[in-house]
Amino acid sequence: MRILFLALLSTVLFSCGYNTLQGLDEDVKASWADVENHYQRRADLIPNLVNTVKGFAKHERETLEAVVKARAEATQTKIDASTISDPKAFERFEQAQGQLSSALSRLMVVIEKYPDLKANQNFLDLQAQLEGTENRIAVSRKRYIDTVAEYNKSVRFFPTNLTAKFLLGMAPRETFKATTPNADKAPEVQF
Amino acid sequence: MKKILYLACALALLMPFALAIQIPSAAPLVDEARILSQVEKNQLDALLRKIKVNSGVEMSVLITPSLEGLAVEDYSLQVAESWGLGRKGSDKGILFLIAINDRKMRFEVGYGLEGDLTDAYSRRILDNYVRPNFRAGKYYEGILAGIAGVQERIPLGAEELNEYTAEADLNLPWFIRLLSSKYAPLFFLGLSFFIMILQIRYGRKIRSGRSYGGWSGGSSSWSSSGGSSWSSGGGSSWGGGGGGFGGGGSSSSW
Repeated sequence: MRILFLALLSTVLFSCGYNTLQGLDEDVKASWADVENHYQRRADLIPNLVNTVKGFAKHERETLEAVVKARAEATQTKIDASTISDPKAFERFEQAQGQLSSALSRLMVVIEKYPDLKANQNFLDLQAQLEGTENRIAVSRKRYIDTVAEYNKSVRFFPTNLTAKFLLGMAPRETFKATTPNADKAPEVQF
Repeated sequence: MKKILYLACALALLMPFALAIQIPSAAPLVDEARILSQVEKNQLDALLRKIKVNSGVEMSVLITPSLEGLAVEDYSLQVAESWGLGRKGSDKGILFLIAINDRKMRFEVGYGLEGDLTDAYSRRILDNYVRPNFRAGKYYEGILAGIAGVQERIPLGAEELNEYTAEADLNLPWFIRLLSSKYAPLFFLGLSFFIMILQIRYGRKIRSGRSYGGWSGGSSSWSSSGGSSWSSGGGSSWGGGGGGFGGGGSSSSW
């Protein structure tokens, strides 16, 4: 009889999803840390890139300055795992990183005019690193979207939503839009 | 009429799978574009298997005719993850993807090798070793040069050496592997529950017939050593190790 009672109790505890919710919450935080890491890595690469480009393309001051400024802004708007549920902070982060992305892509377009630079091994390595980082950002963003979707499902679905709301105080989380603003527009090329 | 409706529903559900690009099954070398001769294929296959045994790096070469409009990064990540190249935890897998008609190629590098085979080095290998050969139409030589470039960068890991050579001895029956795996406690818990239920239902009958002592449900503790994982692969299998990829590596074209 007592065993039956214990079995019943454990079933009730498991079905209310306490552990699942906690686990998913940790997953979201971990995958966010991954996203942030890669953005940080991108920011770290930029000074090196700017210096290399400066040596070859002195006339592109404006474009370079735009990158430096956008980088400064992006590194300032940091959000960590505890504030990612705040939609406003999330949006600011998205915007700052998006601006840096477009400043960088403008720089990459400008660079096409400098064959010497494009033959420079140091620049080629930096370019490969930057591309790799952008790709990692894309992958980690996608994984973050998936993780948050999983988390949000548990927070919204019955009966785990009761545990989330009343026991743990969890709310659905913000996630990335599939694309950043202006991502559908190709950068303009002028010769 | 109803049957047709069911069939239509089933087809509609299957559609997305049919439209998605096919991922071939895992192997050291997969030449879907049929650009290599049988001899060349055998040689590459043997070379990649040798690398796996010697250095613990599971590297695959996939030659596909077309990416079907997908980005080379997306396709290579999908394949690398679904093949599970490298071992979970050490994550030493590499996928060398070559898309013939798109003239694109990519190294997808597992987490465990990102430090040795950096994005910049991957790009150098592709641009300096592989590209000149591919441009001249020498695919086999290009692939060999690419593999050689990777080999220059990967260290010989004694730990992984054991990981893969020990696997050959692991061709044990499934129940032995189950009992030595991390699922063993679960199995015994299930078993004891089953016995408990049997006892509750038929307990009186059994007891009245003959005295069975022994079995007390629930308390049997059988903990596994924890470290051994329940691998389904034999010595010659490829992939399925669950190695992780995070978008490392580099893409190029020729």
